[in-house]
Amino acid sequence: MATLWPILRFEWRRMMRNFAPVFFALAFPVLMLCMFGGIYGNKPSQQFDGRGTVDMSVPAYLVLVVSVTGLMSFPLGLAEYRDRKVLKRFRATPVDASAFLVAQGLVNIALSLLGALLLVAAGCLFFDLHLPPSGAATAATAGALVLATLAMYALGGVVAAVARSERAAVAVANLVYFPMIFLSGATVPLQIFPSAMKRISDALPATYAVELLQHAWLDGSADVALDLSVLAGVVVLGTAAAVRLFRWE
Amino acid sequence: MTANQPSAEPAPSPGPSPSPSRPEAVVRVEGLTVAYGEFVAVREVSFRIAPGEVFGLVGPNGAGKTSVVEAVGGLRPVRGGTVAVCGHDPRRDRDAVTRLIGMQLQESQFPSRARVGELCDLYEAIYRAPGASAALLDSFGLADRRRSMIAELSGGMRQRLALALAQIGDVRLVVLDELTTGLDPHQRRETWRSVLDLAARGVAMLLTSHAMDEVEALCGRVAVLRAGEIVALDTPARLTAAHAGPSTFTVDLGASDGLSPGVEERLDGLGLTRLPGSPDTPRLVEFTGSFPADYDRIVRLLADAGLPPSAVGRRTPTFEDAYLRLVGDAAGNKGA
Repeated sequence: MATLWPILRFEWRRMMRNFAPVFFALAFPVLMLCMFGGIYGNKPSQQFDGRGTVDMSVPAYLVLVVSVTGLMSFPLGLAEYRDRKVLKRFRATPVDASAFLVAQGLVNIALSLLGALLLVAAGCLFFDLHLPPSGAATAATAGALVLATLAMYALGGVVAAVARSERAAVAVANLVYFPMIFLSGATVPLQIFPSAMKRISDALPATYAVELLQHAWLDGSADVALDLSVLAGVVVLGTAAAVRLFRWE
Repeated sequence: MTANQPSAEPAPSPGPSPSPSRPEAVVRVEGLTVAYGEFVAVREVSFRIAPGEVFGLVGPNGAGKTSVVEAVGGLRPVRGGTVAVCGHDPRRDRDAVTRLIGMQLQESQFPSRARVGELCDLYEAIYRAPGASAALLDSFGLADRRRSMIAELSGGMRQRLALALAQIGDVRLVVLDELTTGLDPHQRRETWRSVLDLAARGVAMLLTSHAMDEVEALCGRVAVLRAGEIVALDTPARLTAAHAGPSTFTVDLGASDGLSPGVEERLDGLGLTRLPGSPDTPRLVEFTGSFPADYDRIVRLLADAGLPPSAVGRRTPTFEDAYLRLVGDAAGNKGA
């Protein structure tokens, strides 16, 4: 598709002017890492089964990085285009309006990828982060990140599809996003949660994404069947629901 | 052809007239019906638009204007009848038709956080017309605005930008849905000039509006829609003549006091309909009649009586009066 490239460029520039996603995908995780890494360092800790705080946090923060674009900026961008009839404007042109939806998704993913690289670079530079120990672990981490991304974007798609207006989308996205990042271990380690809170965590897809990423990065031998199936289920069901429910106007 | 019979043939446009032999219509709509489930929004609508013609579509909210516009643009499925733009079906031949049409849609906003130049580049890429926006921005007075964020533009500038973008590529038809809503009088005039310039270059235009002065100023022909049907289709002038009702003439008898008694009786003798006067102004009498015939009779009578021509005032009905009579009660009942 020859016109996808100019659309991507257009959407990327708009994205770079959008303060909230740029800050929360690029700067916020690094700031979190600097804060907790600065306090606890990366020394092996009893609480984390002998892992360092930074080694545990970076894979968890990767979920944060894909959640903010997947659950917030992606659905809000779609809701804006639909609500303000921008999609309708583009439907009247020779380009397929769905190209704008695809471009918004890709631009958000690119922003998250940039955020992930920054986070890992900050970990390596400042806190002696241990990278995945083998080629297989690196591949597993990359695969886990892709799956986590797809799951969050599928949920974001559902948010955009069910919200009847741009304002409703903002409300729904906030309701989904904040529990997802604070109760899943993506920002605050689950190890310090009381058991009642953990039950809430068990209901959040992001919890499984955090677990999967930590296992892939640190511990190749762990059983991740549950994590994989929950996330795969979210991807399949979420995508199907989003595609079915999305309205163009 | 009587004025109150809908005519589907293009009339000569006010712009540089197309060749006397009938020009190939840019838009041909025959028996168009659009429905949303059970509700029929547009019923059996037919019209044509010639190159360089500005065709108006007026009617109360809910009369079906936007549905017609969207059907022409291929954005709305058609329940019955046919729509052709330069011979292409807008639904089946999307690729061809979207290249031929530029659309400015009611309430459709621009993407946020974009610069004017970026949007122009995007449209050039979509229409595969590299560099096309430079001359357009220039002619719309936006040449120095490429670096501006769209949010920084005034309403008039944004409307002109929409008009400029609607022309990128080899566009034969520009659709303008509620063109100047929300603009100040100065900006409206500027936008009108742009529309007429565009028509002069041979581009056909389909325009919807609630401002009848705008329709009168721009449109060669107008279709009046009521409850999804065309109730009249003609030039604004002929619609005014046929449907606007009689003129009102006001005679100031105060000017005749002590000059020529019996003027009032002689005026009544002309056989015009006299309107009930107001007790506050007992010396002003009002008649309805045709302009210019009845008006001339009054002026002659007053001249014979030695009254100055300024003693008679007239109010000729406008296109808006014709419109209001044509859409009639439907507007009052439905608009509520």
